[in-house]
Amino acid sequence: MTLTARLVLTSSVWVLLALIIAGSVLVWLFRDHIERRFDSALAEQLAELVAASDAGSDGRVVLAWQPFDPRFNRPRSGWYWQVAQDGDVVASSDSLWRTRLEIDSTVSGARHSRALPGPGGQALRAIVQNVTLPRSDSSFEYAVAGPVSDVERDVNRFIAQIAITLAVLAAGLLTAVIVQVRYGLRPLGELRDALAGIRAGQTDRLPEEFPAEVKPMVEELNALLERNASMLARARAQAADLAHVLKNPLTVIKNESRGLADRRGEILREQVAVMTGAIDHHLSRARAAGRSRSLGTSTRVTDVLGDLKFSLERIHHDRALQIRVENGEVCVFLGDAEDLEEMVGNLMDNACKWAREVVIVTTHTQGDRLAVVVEDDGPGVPTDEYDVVLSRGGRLDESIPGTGIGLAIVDDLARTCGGRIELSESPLGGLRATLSLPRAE
Amino acid sequence: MRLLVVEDDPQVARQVSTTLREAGYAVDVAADGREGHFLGETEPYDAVVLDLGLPGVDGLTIIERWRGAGITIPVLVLTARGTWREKVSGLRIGADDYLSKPFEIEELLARVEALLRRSGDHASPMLQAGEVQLDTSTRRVTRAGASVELTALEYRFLAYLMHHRGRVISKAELTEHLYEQNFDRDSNVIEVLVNRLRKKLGAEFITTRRGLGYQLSVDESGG
Repeated sequence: MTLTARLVLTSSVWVLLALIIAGSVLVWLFRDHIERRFDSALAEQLAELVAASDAGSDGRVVLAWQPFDPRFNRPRSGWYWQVAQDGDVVASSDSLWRTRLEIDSTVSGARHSRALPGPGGQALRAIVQNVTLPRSDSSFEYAVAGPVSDVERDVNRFIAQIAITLAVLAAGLLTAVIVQVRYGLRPLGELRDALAGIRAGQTDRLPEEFPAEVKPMVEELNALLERNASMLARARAQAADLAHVLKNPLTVIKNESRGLADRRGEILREQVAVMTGAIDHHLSRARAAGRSRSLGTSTRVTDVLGDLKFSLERIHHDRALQIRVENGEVCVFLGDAEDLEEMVGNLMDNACKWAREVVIVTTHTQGDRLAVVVEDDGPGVPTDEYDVVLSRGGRLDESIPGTGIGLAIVDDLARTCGGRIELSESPLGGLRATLSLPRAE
Repeated sequence: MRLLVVEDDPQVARQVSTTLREAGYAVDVAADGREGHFLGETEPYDAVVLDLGLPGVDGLTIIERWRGAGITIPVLVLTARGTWREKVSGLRIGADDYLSKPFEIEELLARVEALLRRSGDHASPMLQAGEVQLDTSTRRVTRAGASVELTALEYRFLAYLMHHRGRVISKAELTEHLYEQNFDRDSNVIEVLVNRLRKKLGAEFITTRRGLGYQLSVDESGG
């Protein structure tokens, strides 16, 4: 269950419970209030009735006037009054019309309210009082009744109103709870986004601006990331050192083995080549792996091509080699300069080794990709040997050092950079290598 | 031709220096950056083979300091790392060529010869003066097409003169470029060498400029 669901659920249960209790209490209070008002209205009528009563000389009750309220005149209106003496009705409202209120006199005493069954099964609420009139010895039972349905109607109307009010309140509170939970938990969402950003390589540490509750966790995560990064850097440095240390003995073995005239020398040299290839391959992978390929990192292809042209012209100074760099448009590579240098450098170096006179480098863009095309006028590579050239250790010509392994490294790097390399025949006669890479805007 | 090899790995240094000596060069070896930097600054080498990962001062810094001090010796850089970033920065700083380890010793030799030709401004490995031809790649010397046998020191002496033909070269300069650092230098040896070469290549081939030094007679042809 999500944190949001937990928080919203518990809050909702509590809010609903509180509102139901509050609603019930309100309804109870309201009913009590309405009943009191009803009772006091009845009591007023009763008092008026008593005031109008006078005991006649025969001991009978005489009413000087009758309650004015017309509801007492309408038959079966639900509003009744009745005066009884010793169980006999001596006077009653017109509304009773030949019927009487059945009052259980055994419970009667002082003025009180009670429920009464009315004529026709109507539920009534009555005030009953035994009164001893002046100049009369006997006690008269006065009763005034009204329909319970009047009370119920008011109460039900109130319940309907309070239910709507409380429902609106509940909706408001629940919305507030959801908003509160969302807002409260937002730093967690931001933390998740920041972590995703780290995995995507957009950044290498979490931002510090988090609330105090989350901040310790963020700091711990940052410390962990730093430890991770330093371990990675150390591992990479160690890999580079190991490669560095191995290259000297390999040089010695490679050249010492020339002294061995028989097949053993050849085997040694082959093994040295295999080791060198493996070292270069894994070193370049170690360098590329874990390098933060930040979305913000972009490299102008032109700058790299300029550097490489300068370098290769200097290296191949004594050859009549022409390196032409033709930039169609501005190309920006979405990635690290060092990766681009390795890829294009190896391609151009390879082309220079094979070329007779000319190496041409062109760049162009297509959609979100850019392509660096390196071609030479050398002997080229047979179409069916492209796979061999690109496979690790695939070396077509032993007499030209670095062939094949260089291209395999380019292929490897291109894949880690989200690109690929394609070989084809150049119109110049030699090999055409097309390096396709993601482009930055 | 006198070369400096700056390499901290003793075995690699031994192989490189042995091969270069066999190829007719005078070779000094420095095992750390400080010594290499000092030697390059004080001795007149014709080319330097410089490892980048050196104890003391690293190779790139050495090149930077030499170039800053106006020393233009051709430098062949050796490196175990071989990233293009390193190559580009090395070449931009002023290195002349680059070789990644493990290298073929022949490749090293060819690169050194190419550097020497480049600094002497010769396009071809064939150096020519009069009817004498010297092939720096095969270290063969011919006179009018006929092969001439030379000792290592004679070859070194001739190669230096041929690289700088047309110029008067003093005895002191010859001594400095022919012998390794710790060699007991004896200027009489130069005269002996000149006489031996005159015998093999013709008396008129090397001219003595009294009080100045020696010069190859450069006539109609030149490499």
